[in-house]
Amino acid sequence: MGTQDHLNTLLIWTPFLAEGFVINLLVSFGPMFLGTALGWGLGWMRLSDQRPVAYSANAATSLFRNIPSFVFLFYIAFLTPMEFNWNGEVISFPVILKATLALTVPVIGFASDQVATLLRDLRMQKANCWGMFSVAWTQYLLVVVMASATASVIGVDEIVNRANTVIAAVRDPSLMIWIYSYVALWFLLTGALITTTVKLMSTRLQST
Amino acid sequence: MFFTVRRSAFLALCIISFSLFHTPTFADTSRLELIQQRGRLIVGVKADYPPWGMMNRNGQLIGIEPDLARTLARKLGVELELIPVTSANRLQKVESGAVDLILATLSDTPARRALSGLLEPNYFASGINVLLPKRSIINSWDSLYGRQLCLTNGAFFNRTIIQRHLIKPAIFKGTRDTLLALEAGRCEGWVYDDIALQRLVIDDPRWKDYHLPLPSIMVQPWAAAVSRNEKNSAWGLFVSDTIIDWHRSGELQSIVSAWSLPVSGFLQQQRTLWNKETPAGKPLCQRQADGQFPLACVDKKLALATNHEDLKARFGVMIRNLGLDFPPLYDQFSLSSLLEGIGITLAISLTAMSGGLIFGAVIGTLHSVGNRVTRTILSIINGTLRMTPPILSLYLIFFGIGSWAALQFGITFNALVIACVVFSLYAGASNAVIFSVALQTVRQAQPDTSLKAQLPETLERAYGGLMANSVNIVKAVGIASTIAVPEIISAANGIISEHGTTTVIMNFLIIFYFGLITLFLWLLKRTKGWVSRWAHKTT
Repeated sequence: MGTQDHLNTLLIWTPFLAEGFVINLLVSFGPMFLGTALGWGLGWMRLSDQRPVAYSANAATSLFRNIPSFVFLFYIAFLTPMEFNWNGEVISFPVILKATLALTVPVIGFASDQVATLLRDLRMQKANCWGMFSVAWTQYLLVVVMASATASVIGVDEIVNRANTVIAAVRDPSLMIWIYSYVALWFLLTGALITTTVKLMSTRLQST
Repeated sequence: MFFTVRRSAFLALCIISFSLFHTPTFADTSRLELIQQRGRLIVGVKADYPPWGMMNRNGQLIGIEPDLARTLARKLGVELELIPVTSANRLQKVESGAVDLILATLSDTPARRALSGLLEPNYFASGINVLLPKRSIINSWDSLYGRQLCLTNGAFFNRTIIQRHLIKPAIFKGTRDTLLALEAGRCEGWVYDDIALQRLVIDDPRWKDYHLPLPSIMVQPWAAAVSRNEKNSAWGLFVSDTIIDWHRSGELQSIVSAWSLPVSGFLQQQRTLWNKETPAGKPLCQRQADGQFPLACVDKKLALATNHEDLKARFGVMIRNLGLDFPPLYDQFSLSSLLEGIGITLAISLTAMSGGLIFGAVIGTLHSVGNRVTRTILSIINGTLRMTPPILSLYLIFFGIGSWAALQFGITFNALVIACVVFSLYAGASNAVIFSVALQTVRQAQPDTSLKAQLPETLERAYGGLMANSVNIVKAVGIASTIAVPEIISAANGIISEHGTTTVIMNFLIIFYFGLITLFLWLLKRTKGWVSRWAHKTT
């Protein structure tokens, strides 16, 4: 197969891969918001006057910070059932939800640290507290988008998983480099978009 | 302390006395009568092993084993209730009396015979085979020695194949990834369950260039099981006789074929065996006065297995009952694979951390001192490295570039080396950004000093960021398991698939990683003091 054929194949499979990338975005933004909400509570508790509260919030934060999401993916996948029986009703627990939970773990640790800083700065009435927080948050989004690709190992049908499916379907070993590079390009463009946003935010922050 | 010792000693005493005096409650009250009284036969079958036992869309259990159970119920004239069992709980279900019988793809082993009432004759057998390209020069199991072969994570026989045939294993997650690896030339063949491989070669025209030229090995018979005490009761004998009928009449063979499995050599051979007659015209194989079958009619190795296995199995059960089921404690192979996994995880972590720091320092410095063109080029390269997910880079190099290099030049890359390079570059790209910013700040503050003199302060400024990146790369090292690097996650998966001790192993894995990250954080915090002291001494 020549280059033209390869490009054609990529074009044919683009909608399929794009659908997978939507799942990547879901398992990136989902954990970002969920983790920020939970981390917010922890960060707030860490500044509490009550020592036991602050102490346990600190301990919880270091627990969330120090457990790799990749290991936690396996942990959740292995130890939670596929279906629950809730008062006689069977509720399924899909892998995409498992991946969301696993990727939420490091976000909680991150958000707890950022929120503690934010709240402390707000109390001291420092300038640009919210701006700094948003820049750090957007930067971390890039890390989570990169990590969303690992959800493929527990069977989430995201873009890397779909790339492997395409390779298995087309069965042309010379296509592998093309497919993987093409998928890498999707991540690169998303990364570039996030980085540009961060730069714009920082510039605005410095000018205020 | 004294109290704890006394308590655990008491617990041990309880367990010992329980196992000594625990007499079977329903020793000879006939289960056969019980089944007939309740008008229902309860059989445990698999729900996750097509086509042997599986769920249909309506949640009903169907498959070969449910069909076999149905013939039993029909013969007894009772209703049939099917209950799903798993590999982990099937023996316990039948021993506790929750089911009358299990027909659940149970491999017949001496250890299991000691635990439960496994019935003779066996009703099926499956073995291990190797899928090879038709052009392969491998022509016997002996010629596998020292060759790279693909295995699939979770297969119980992986360990035996590695140990007995001294192959170089590459263990992949799931059948799809293993097939990819085979096709990409990462290994010379795929050692797997013979039924699955046969189905692949027969059903899928895309595998027409592959075949199974070697005979199946490690052929393991499957047994139906009743509880240990009922093996020789009327119920056990009834099931055993029915299995003989299945073989003699060919009913078993036709049920298996009805589920479109290829013809099994084992079933053909059993059918011939159970139909053999003595010169006097009586069946050659029938139960003798002592209740046993002639050795020629059953699996000799299993029938003659020693008590040694019995003891080992009981020891395993005792440990399990104490809630201490951590296979590396009593199994040498698990222990060495776990230790190897820990060693490799540490090795990749340290290599990636130091590789990342060196790469970051070099690129960061070149970026700060270079002209516009150099800076742009370096930024593009660095950005690409930073914004490609490491799992994708691993696949790209291992499968993509790997298969291309294998086809073009006959070179194969070592998976461990690829992992070290990918993680070094991923960490290094982030380090370069931090290093470059720090160096530029220092250069603005002291424009007249030499680069060498600026280095200590740069390092001190960049330390926090470099530290965070270094810890993050240690967290990512486990991803190497996707390209069959035998690090700790691969080792844990292997132990789980062989021993089924998921909870204990997964908890161990989480605690190990938490400890590892905490240790690295602590070490890096200690080093921070040294770096800043060094920075102030030199400036």
